[in-house]
Amino acid sequence: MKPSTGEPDPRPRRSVEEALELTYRRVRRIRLRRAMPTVAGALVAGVLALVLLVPGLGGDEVVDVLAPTRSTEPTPQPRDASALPHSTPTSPPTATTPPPSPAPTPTPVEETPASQPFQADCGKEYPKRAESPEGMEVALELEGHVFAHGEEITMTVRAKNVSAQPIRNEYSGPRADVWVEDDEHRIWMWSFGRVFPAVQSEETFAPGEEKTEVMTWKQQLCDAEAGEQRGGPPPPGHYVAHGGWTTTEEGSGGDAWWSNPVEFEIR
Amino acid sequence: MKNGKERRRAEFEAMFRVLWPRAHRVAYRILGQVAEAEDAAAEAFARAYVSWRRVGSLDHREAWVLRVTSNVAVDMARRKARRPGGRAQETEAFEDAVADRVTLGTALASLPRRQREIVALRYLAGFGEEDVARSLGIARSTVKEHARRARTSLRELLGSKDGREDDEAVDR
Repeated sequence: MKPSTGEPDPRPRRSVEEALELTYRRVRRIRLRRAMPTVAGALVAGVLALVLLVPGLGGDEVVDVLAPTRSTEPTPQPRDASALPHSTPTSPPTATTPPPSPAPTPTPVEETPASQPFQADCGKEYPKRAESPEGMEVALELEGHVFAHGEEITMTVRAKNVSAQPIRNEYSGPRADVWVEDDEHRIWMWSFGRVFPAVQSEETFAPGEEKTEVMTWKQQLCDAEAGEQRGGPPPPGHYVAHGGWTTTEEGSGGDAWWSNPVEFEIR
Repeated sequence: MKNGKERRRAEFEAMFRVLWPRAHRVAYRILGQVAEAEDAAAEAFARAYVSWRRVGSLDHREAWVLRVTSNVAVDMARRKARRPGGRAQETEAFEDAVADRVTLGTALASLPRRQREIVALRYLAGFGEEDVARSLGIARSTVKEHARRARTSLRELLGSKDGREDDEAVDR
């Protein structure tokens, strides 16, 4: 790594008090951003209540009442809309465009914070695939292949020692992880944005022994900029899930043993 | 007597006053610009504050903040590099001054997350190997191995001609 130039780094331009004030302003912005789904939901509830209470409005006219609201607001688009998989490319799902549904209920406005569209992306660099040992088999199982839009999805990662020798493994955080990819991006990863206690542990897999970890995905997405999981669900379409079992084995060339990819669909 | 909220705020501000210059330094070494480094550090502290119930209870909360600072700074460097004409808009004088650091920021962005965090804590924040290991909850040998891999990658990315000497220097 190239060392710094040797010159002392310049001092911050702001005083500590000014920097603290800047930080609190950012805190307010983060809280506002997090509150937006709630605010959006309250607005929708208010409009719906108005529709139900005002005589002469109702049924198909729900759409008419909402239409002016939509037209005065810019329609939020992901920064890279092409990265989102769509089962119906001519009608990309957005915060104001619900997925095809037999009932024309405009509730999906709550699904994604309307003012904060973002490209779901957890980054693909971690965990790097470990190439050894030969005796460990990692598999991922889902409770089906088709899931409803917004449905909680349970994923089970299984690690099994299929060799005749015991395998010792060390952990510096979670034992396993799962992630979901669309055509271009890793849109969700279980560990993304979580803080793990600094605990070093180890365990041994006896020959034939299997250990499992179960994780659930509430169809939230990785917001790389915010460093947290939020928003979602992703648009209906085809996705691929992977599981990984952590290893710190020297010479493995990676961070985790990967499972088989599992394809599934969100409708 | 202070209530819980006031106590948390006082704890946070006490840490902030001690850690702010160090967080700024980490971000500056990645971004090369004082104002941007302040933004990155403030963003990291803000994220710590909104999660203070959790972050404040960590044994290595200072390392957590510095780690997030470096991640935010690397993201900023990455966006800066992607921005069309971003570099061209710099003045000549600034260009020379920040070139190395912008390159370092974008090079760091290409490293795996764990390697990047170790580089940030070990070389930019100045933690010792043992402290990095404790704060990330990993073995010291793992820190060493990730740091070695990171140095190899950075050397290739930054085109250092005297990499072996660099390695020996940082291991001392």
